Amino acid sequence: MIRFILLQNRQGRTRLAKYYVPFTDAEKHKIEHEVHRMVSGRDQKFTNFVDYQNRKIIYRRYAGLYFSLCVDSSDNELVCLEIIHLFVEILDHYFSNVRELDLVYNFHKVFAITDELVLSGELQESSKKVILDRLGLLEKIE
Amino acid sequence: MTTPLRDLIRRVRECKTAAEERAVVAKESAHLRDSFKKEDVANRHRNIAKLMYLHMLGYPTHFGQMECLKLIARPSFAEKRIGYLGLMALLDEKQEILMLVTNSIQQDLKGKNQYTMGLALCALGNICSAEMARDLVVDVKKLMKSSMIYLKKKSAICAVRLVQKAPELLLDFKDEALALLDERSHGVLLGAVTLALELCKLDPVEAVGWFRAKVHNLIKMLKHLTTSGSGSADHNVRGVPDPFLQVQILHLLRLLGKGSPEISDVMSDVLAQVASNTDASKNAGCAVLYECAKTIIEIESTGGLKVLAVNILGKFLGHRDNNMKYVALDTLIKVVTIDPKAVQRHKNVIVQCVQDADISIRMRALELACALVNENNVEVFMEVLLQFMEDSEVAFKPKLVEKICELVEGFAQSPQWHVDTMVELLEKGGAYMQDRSARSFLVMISSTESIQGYAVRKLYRALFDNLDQSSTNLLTVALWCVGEFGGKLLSGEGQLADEIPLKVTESEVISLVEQVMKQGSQSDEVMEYSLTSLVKLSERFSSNEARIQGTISKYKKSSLLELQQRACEFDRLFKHGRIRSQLLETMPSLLSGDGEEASQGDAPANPAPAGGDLLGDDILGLDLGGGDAAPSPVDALTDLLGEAAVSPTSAPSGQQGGADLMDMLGGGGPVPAGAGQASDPLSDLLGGGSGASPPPSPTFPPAVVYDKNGVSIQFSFAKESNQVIITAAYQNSSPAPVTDFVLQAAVPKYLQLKMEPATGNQLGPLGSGAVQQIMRVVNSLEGQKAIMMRLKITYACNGGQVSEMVEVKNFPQGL
Repeated sequence: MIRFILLQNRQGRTRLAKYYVPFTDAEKHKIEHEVHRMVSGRDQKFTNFVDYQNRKIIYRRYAGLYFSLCVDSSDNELVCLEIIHLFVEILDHYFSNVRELDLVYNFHKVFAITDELVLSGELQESSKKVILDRLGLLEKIE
Repeated sequence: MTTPLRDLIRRVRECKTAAEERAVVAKESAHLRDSFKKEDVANRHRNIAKLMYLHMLGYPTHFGQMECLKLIARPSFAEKRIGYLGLMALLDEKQEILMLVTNSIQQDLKGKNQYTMGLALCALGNICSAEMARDLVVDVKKLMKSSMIYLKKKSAICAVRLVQKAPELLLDFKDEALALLDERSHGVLLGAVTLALELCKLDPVEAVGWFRAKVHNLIKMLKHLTTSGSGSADHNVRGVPDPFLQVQILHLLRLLGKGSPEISDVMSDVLAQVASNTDASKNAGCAVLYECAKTIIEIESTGGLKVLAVNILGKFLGHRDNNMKYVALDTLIKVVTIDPKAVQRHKNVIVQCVQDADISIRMRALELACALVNENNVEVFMEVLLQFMEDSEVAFKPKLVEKICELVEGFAQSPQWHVDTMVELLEKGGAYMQDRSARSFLVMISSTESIQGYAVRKLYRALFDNLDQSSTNLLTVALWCVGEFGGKLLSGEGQLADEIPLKVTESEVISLVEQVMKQGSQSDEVMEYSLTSLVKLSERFSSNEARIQGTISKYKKSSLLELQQRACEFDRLFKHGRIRSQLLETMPSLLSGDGEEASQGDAPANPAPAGGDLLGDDILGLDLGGGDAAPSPVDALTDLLGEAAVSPTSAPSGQQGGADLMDMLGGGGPVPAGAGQASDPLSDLLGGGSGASPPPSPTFPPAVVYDKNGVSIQFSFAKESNQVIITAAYQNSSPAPVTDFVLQAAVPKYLQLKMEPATGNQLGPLGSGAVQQIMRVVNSLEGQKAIMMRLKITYACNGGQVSEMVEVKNFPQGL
């Protein structure tokens, strides 16, 4: 189960934080700080996995942005990397060549995209096309 | 005047300092509050979007929570959408305000508009609480049967959250969950398999049974996916057909096959097919192969299939991508127990990985490497580990030290090697060593007389060399040995063939201990050990008695109560020459702190004081109830009781004069004869009815010994000749499942305890899936002492770890 999704830049600014288990604001702040410190300090040749509080962080860096998932220690790490990649591909299509600024100004849309991909901490849809079609449909009726 | 969201974002981004940003945010917050107060309906959704932005920046936003609820209740989709987004970002299941939204969500779930239904499902799936789950289960179930694919898949995943929050709903979802597995759409199937997984995890007995009936469907699905050319291109990931769905199905098959040879046999063909046909050149393919290997290893598969899985992992291990190495190491740990030879083949790579730069790899490699150690390779391997001890970073050291200690204890080839390795470890990483490991090293020295001389000289050197940067553990171990075996330190007794003789004088030894004490930064524990060490030395180095007394007297004014008390008591001891020599004798062989192993035969005639936890309690047993950081099953109190029972007649003579002193020192000396029989209030209190037990009756009433958080433990008793058979039944009446349930028991030394493995470690919710464990107890003092036990109960429930200690004394009379 995915416990949270974090999207942070190299300076540690959080661009998206989606939690599927309850944390207090102080805990969230601490998590975001710790995760950034951990993943940004790692060599590029290292694995994309770090142990964190009896669970693991699966992260991947795309340009200046770190995408991190916190999952249970028994979850399939490699498939989590695919989930991250799928997420990035969808963002890239949706914003046609996504940049960090797109995410800043459209953070509410990023939330909506996340909600089509993941629900209750589980992957909800594995097809990029289905998700993009759906997002297009929602835009139209708004 | 309300400004657009983009404006706010821009203004915040233009801030150059944190103070500027705070000012902008404070102004905006004030504006938002004002606007909420005025019920500015037209701008409400824009305001909520701004609020979400401020929340993301980490500013307080609780004042806007009610506004989200108001937005959700609006009719238009655009407003609802931002309302739900705000709800999910600003609130979580723990906030009471959430109750107010249940009604709106229900309205939307029941509505006719599929888009708003989707929104409501999404919110429910992300922040639903147990109460909401119970209130809305009917509506979600209805949507699982909807004709629309989108709603079906969303409600299936939503159901996952509902059963997580309220596990008693498990049965409610049975029919829907089974029906969804017959679907064709990938999205719905993904949801259906995910839900099935969750149900199987929550109820590993019953739910697994339901889905085993569907195993052919799952196999067909997987076959369909893997046959090339089939499956929609939408779901392909670089040539691999829907790896996400494949992985979920393989995971479910794992749960279904575990423990059932027939079911495992049915799925073996398709597993072999996936294992041999999946393209391993891309990450997506590897993800599927990895999941497949895990499934093969855990189900009751045949040898041939297992070889296939181990080969996949072997290939991953040689992969140049570190991620593959990592997952291989992580999984091979499970293979070690079933096929150590297969893993042994990869030994060199694994040892290399122990020294990898990446801590994630290292942690797993260490675990795996240690599982491969045996008597033949332990010495070579230990050199690598100790070398590595110096180079590794701080975060890794505790784990490394722990592993080294385990290996030394398990595979030591000779006492000398044991001492050499442990002393080196204490020097290099003593600060990272757990008290428990340090203590068991002392137990080893104390119980191996032939090595004591060598050990004390080795430790003395280590203490001497590392005086300025020693860890507490090195200091305490060395100080304890110097005190106990001071004679052997000087005399060179028990010199080993390749040992360099040590030349020291009495006064040099005393100076070293004094030097330790003079360093201002020493912990209280070290000071206490030093003092005890000195008083012991006063007996061994009689010509320096006056000097030692002088040093000890200095601490009679210490501001640390414990230290002051020791100094005063020790100082008094010097006036009781006759009994002092007996009190300060070398400690008899220490017992291991493990209650189950401490059989009666090991009990020494002159029992070790506070044998339960040497490093936690102090040597002379001055603080019997003292801190016990390490879990020691036998505490000082039960120990005392055990000793009193074992040794009432073996108390040496000549201690009458010091009886008051002994009392003062608690368990420090042998327990005076008679104290254990009638007059000892402690044993009376704990032994319950030890004096006169009624004649044994054939049946005994069961006793509930633990009942908390819905988890209960009941003991039923039966008697066979001199053996008491206790059947412990563990049950969980709470709605949440309990996992990793472990019960450990410790008994006083007059009892012998044998525990059989429990029938499981999972307790299903609401009393389903009870677990039993049988214990056999032999009471060597039957009729004099009643059975008593101390239980340590650990389990995981609702995502939290529970660990409790319970003392059980209410055993039926006559057992």
